[in-house]
Amino acid sequence: MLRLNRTACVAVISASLIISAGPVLARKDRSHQAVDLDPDARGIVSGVGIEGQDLGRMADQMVRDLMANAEVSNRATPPRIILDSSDLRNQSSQRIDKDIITDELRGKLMNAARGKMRFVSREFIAAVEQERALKRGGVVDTGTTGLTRATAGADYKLVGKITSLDSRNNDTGMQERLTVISLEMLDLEYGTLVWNGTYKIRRAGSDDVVYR
Amino acid sequence: MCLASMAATATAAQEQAPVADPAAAKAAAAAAKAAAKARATQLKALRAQYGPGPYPDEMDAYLANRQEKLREYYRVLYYDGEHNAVLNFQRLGLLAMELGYYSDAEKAFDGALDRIEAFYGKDKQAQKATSTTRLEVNKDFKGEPYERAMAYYYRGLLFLRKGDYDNARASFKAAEYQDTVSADETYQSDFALLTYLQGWASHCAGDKSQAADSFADAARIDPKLKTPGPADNLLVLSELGNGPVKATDGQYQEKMVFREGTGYAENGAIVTLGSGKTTRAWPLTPAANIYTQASTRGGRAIDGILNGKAQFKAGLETTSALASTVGSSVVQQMGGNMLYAQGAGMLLNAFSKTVRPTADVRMWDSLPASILVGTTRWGAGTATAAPAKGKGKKPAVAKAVATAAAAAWIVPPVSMIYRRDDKPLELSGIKPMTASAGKCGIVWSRSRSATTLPPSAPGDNAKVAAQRKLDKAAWAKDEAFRATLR
Repeated sequence: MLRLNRTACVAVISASLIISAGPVLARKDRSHQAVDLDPDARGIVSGVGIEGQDLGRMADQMVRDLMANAEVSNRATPPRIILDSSDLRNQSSQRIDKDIITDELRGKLMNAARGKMRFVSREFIAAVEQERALKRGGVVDTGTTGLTRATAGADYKLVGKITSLDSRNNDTGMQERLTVISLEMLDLEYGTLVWNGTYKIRRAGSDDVVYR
Repeated sequence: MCLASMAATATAAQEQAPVADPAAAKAAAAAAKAAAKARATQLKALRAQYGPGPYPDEMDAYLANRQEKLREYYRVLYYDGEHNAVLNFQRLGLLAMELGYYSDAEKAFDGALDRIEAFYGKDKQAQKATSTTRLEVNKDFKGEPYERAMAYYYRGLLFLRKGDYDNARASFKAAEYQDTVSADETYQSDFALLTYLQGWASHCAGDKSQAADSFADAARIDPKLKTPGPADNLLVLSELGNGPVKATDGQYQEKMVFREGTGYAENGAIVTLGSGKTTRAWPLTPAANIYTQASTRGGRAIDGILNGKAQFKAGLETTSALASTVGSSVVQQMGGNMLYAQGAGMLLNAFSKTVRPTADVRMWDSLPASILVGTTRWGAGTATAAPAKGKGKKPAVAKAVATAAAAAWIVPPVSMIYRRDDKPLELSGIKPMTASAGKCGIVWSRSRSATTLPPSAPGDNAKVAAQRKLDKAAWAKDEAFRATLR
């Protein structure tokens, strides 16, 4: 009976040790695996340029700004807006896929606008023209929304620039970059600017001494 | 049988077995178990033969979909891991660019630049490099400023090839920024070609004022670089010779120095465009000397650390010698046992041998010695500059025709004559890269091919590479790197 108790005791202690060591082992092993990160938080790898977390913050600020502009967001007839990267210029020193900025902004703006703005896609105009030709050729039926004389013309287009200013202290190895994302809403009939939004990122850092 | 094929067999067995058939399910489970067991045995054997890896079957699976001519470079990239990733990406990118595998080249240069741009703060490998008893080569390679600048330069050319002028300009700007680390202000931002190329990217993007500013800046640094004509639409670049070589100097090889590349005679090139009546030929303008860029940077921060290590080593050696000779005689004269002094001397001598101040000389060996540049107007330039006024066509239609013509233009046949002073050389160079994806076209050529170089970069240390495999943290880092490649 005593031997049985001792065996049970050893088994319980071993089990406890294994369970308590589990997370430690898992933590050790985690270095081999990919990890999920919050897209709105600072990542593991970082420099002085635009990073993932900046996109969400920039889009949030721009959307708030734009929704507060009555000329664009509070019209009786929702304005039609082209929001793509074709007129967003990258004049900064960072290579960037500009679509990532306009896609983020369009997504958030569409959610916030709730029908107060209409977004016109020119990126996939070829697909629209193809379907229109099929409908008018009688190859396919008219769909559920009927036919229109032409595709939608736009009232406004989002244009803008990404610029940057780099500086470095060669004594300390500190690098700094000011990145400015400046977006404007261009009236496509009058050529006036009805809205302007600016988002600034100022970031500094230095590499380990062996890389300077 | 490799893991992939065994797993496929097991999966196939599972797929073939009807769910309702318990016997088949049992057989499939047994097959999977046998496959896992076989793999475990195989791994054990591989571990005994190759150490922690990576193993041949894993490597073969990774290389299977790579271009044959790039495979050995990919093998080195995969094997070396994060330690030489920047260097291997740079060498791979340039080779891929030369051979016309542009997608591979773009990914490779992006891989290098992502690492160059990231801060390696509190990095264990970097800390090792500063340790008295460790070599500098322990650190992950990020390259010297001229090597970093050249990675941006090539990425910029690839963006120009695609007609992405914004990102091309960004790359050339970032390249120029790398040149600002020079200790001597005279040499900061003196890489005129990069400023000129920023101007070219702006010119192609239609940013006239930015283009004018950059061209003026470039001409200020190097008066040979003249502003291109307003309708110029073709950029020609030719790279000559072999780039600078890193070497060690000093009593303990603690100093990294640059030597000019050797083994080439060419110092000029004439480009010939088109054929027959439309042929146009002119000598290209010298725009950059890579050795000058490498050697005018001034001291590195790590040089102070390596110098300190060298002084410490010299001090230990002197003390050891003193203890062995002078110390012994003094002790003997004082009636003591001179073996104690000799023993102390030997101990200090042994300790001095563990101090390693040798500088890291891993280098991007496929870089050229110099770069020549030229621009001209070709084909679409005429259409863009003066749109054809067809009879009966409305201006909008004529403009559309001109735009279509501009979009459709192609770079004419290109040939290069490499020469020494005014004498042509028997040197064919590589097949030039030509492209006209956007408003502007590009011709890029090299007198010397990267295909003649071995897949592994020079300057690495086999012992350090072997030790790295035994370092768990470094190994995990390398494995994570390999996972991103697969």
